[in-house]
Amino acid sequence: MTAENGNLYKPQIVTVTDVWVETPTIKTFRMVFDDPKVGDNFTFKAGQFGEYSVFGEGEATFCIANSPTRKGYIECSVKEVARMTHGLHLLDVGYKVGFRGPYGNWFPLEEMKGKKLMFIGGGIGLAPLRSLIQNVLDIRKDFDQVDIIYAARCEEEFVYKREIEEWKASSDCGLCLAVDPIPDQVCSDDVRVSFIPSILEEMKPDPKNRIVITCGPPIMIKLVTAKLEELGWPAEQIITTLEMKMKCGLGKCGRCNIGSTYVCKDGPVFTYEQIRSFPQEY
Amino acid sequence: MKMQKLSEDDIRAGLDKLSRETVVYAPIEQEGRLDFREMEKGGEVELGARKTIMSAKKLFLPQAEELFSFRAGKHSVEIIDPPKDEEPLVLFACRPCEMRALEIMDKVFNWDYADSQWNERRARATIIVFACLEPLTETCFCNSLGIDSSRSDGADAIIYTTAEGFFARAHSEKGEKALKVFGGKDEEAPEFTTRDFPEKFNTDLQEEMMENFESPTWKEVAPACIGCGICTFVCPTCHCFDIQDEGGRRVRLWDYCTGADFTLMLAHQPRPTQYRRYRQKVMHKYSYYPTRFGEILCTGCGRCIDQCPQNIDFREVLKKCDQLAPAETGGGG
Repeated sequence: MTAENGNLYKPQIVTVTDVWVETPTIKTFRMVFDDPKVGDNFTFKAGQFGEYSVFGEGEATFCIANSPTRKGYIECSVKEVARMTHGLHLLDVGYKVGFRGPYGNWFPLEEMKGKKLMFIGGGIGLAPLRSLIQNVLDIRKDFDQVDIIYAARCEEEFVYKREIEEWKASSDCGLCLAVDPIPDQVCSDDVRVSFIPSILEEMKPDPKNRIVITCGPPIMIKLVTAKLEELGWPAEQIITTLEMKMKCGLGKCGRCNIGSTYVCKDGPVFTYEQIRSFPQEY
Repeated sequence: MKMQKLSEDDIRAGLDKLSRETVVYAPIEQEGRLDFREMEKGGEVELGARKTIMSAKKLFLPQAEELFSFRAGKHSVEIIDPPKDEEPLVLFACRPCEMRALEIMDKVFNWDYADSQWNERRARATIIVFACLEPLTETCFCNSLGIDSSRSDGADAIIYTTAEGFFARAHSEKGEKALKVFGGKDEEAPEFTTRDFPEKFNTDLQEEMMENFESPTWKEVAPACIGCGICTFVCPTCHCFDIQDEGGRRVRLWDYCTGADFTLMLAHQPRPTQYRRYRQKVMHKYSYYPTRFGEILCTGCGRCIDQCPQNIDFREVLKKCDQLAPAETGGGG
């Protein structure tokens, strides 16, 4: 999507139509394009990201957290950490935000069809997975078994709690929730107290005709991929999406590279096989 | 070959005329600093063989540039395009390495997404290059980057300095038009070749550095680097930028990869130590950019050497990068 005057950096205006408080520090914003023509023509694929503006505070990169099958709006989930995200968290329904995108590559949805899928998310890393999960559930019959493993530091830190309830109740997907084994951890009966690698060790998911899609803190991704490899998983069946500091999203500002790979253009979605070939700098 | 023979007076008179008609940027010294400045603002144009402190990239990628401005209320936002620099501009007496730098950067500003700000500035500029038949300073090493500084085919016109005066030749219609104001007359020009350049060294490091990404030598390449960023700011090819809101404007600003903030995220810092940041700088120029765009992102202008407060000599850096020791781990004998 390019602005009409060719200025790549000029955002479209979107209006906040819903805000959900996910955790004490994370909110989800639903936004609708002000220009109905832009909204009608807007398409994206699960896994892509955008550059969001809070005018006066700046621009930041977040994935599009809803599925392209759920049309008419875009959603992003944002942790409040600094100037721009603080500004965003102050916004309520009716406020104006800027959006540029969609940018980057996407999850290989077509290649996933007919296969078993296992989503492994940690913390706010569930956001990019949620786009694909929604997408998959909306065309559920195209896939074999679907499982979701989701962990956070504690139950309060779970994002998309309302959706997690839907997944729990649904026969469309298996769900395993977990919280970190930290001292004095308190959680519901159906939530496990365990790190994800230990859960995988127990489950021993069979890699046959199955793809893992994972996103979370870098340390979680590293430990999950290491465990899956130990369990005999081929690296090309593990897909993740990387977060790097980005500014332009257009392969110009020179910030998000890992070696000669521009995460904003060649990614953010990579197989673990690709990531293994990168210089160890992520 | 016949070329347009000009005296110093022809050039000065022509520049005066040109600067009344259009914006002319040329090397002008002020307060002891030679830099590309607008002629209209005064000062004498330097016609001699001297290197400007800053490169000419600022005319195409300004240090701070408004991308747009906005009036944002609670429930309304108006986005206003920046005033366009549509007036033609003449860049006078930059050097062949500056011209190369622009050609190299054209690639990153035009792959997939075309950066209109960059392209508009490139299109409106007429670039008149002064050839370097000798290195401008002892830090010049453009010849090691394969640049023949006796020519500048991408420039609109080129001017050669000789003991008998100046010889000029246009390469484009824009250049022809600009050279007309200088007058002079066509005369047979001598053959121009470069002399006295330093011995060439190997700059083809693309694969070698990639293979030795984990080499312990990286820690020894530029241990004195304090990450001040001056090498980036004076560099004609460094183009990495930041985008920020300042007041009611969204601005694009020069940024530098040797600074710690460059990649710092909330949960992660991919380059937590200075040598890693310096490795990024060298490898972006000599490995990643060649891999992506087929060109080394450096022209050997030597400004980074001239200005480094820690006296890091980038030529020595490159020579060390040509002799990276294999990584200690994973060697396996």
